[in-house]
Amino acid sequence: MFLSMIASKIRSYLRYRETVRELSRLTDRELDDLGLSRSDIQYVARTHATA
Amino acid sequence: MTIAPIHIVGGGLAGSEAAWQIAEAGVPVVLHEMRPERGTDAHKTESLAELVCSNSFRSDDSSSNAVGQLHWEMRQLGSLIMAKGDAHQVPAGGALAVDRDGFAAAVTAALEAHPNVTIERGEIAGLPPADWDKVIVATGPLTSPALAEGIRSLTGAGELAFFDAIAPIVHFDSVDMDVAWFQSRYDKAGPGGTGADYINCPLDRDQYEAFIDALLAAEKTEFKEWEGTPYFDGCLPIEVMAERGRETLRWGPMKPVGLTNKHNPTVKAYAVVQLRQDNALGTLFNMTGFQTKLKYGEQAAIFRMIPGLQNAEFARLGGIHRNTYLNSPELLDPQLRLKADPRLRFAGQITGCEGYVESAAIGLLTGRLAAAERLGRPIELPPAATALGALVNHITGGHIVTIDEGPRSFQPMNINFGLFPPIEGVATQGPDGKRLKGPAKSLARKQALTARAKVELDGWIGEANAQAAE
Repeated sequence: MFLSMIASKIRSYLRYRETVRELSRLTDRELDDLGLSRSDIQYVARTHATA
Repeated sequence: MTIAPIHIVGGGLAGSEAAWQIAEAGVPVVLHEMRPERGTDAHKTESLAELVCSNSFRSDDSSSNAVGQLHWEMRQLGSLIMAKGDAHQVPAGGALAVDRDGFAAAVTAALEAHPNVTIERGEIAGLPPADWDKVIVATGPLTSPALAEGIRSLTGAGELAFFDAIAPIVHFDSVDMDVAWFQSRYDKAGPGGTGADYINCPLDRDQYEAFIDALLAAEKTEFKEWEGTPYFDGCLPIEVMAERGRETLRWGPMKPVGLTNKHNPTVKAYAVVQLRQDNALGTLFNMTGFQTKLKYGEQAAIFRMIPGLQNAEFARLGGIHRNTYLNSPELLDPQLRLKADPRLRFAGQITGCEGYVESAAIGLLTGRLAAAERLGRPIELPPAATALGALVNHITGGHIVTIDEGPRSFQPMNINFGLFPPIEGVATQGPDGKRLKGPAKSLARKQALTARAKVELDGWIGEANAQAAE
């Protein structure tokens, strides 16, 4: 139980990092096209990781 | 009494929206589209309002995003483009993205079905015939050469650019003024200037060398086939200058002469980057002489190496591409009519706005202005604090004329909060009584700007309706 909770925390952290990395690589113009600004990246990644 | 029709040249987003607005106002309209009779390098179908690049109308958030606010305003004004965009939406997170075939087919069908709209296929080669007394030109960046030549004959050479070098534009409030300072070289006051018109960012020798290394190592964009035109003289990209020699920039746009660092008066900078005010509001500054074709992703990182710009936010990045657009602040009157021939109005990208939504928005406004003029009830322009007003202000008046001699400085731009007049009295504390900082402060400012825009737009619509009822 405890272990699976840890594992899921780690998985969601990895998913968070992955999203941040992918979005950070986009240009401002590409982000704009997605309806995001650079300052939204961490927020979007957090929501995505916990969803 | 029959009303004479208004002619529109070009069935893209701007032309389609203008046609819809005119038809809805009860005025007949003839929409001329050269496809399929004559194709372009970018279009694939014969539909009106074909999206040639992305399928995204960008953020739909009308409370904290400038293009989202423009969406909101256009919906309030009965925009065909927004209605069909909404109807053919595809999932895209915070963005409004559309099914491009469904969208274009729906716009085409709506216009074909409207009793006041006639669609004529065929190229308008050269200037529109003299017996068309009201014309909207919405031919976009791929304006056919014959028409471009016709426009040029009215406006004079050089007023219709085909090929452009663009320097990045920075939001003033993101420049670190503890590092940078205001001063013109030799404190020279130009026309309308004070002698302290430029922002100066100092580099020491190591910073300069590191900056040159980064420029030389960075990825450049390659030109597409139809963009293979030579550079304008005096408009060399900075990375090309750097390739000619490591010292070239220091003797060119980064010359450190005639300047004294206010923060450190005894030390002479090794090189200086100057930023020049770009709009009348003083919220945007362009990087003087920094036209570039570096990849977008590289630009922000490299330019943030410059002291003072370490946190710079860019209203637009630099680029070089083929483009046909008017030097609108010089050539158009506030109602978007050509000063040299007022029967011609302009709309869309050719006026110097950028982006699908912006083009359609200017089409919407031009259509309303032309229809009102035809019906003999001229309307006021939208207030400057609305997104629509901010955009049209950028095109026809908000941009200040460059202080120095040189290539013209008016550049196509997307809608952004830097084009809105500054706002006073934004809440500085959150609901918990703590002082807002950083992103929270910026969000509060954006929300205040869009809230003000919504009130102003509603007021403008109310006035226009009252006028129409008289």
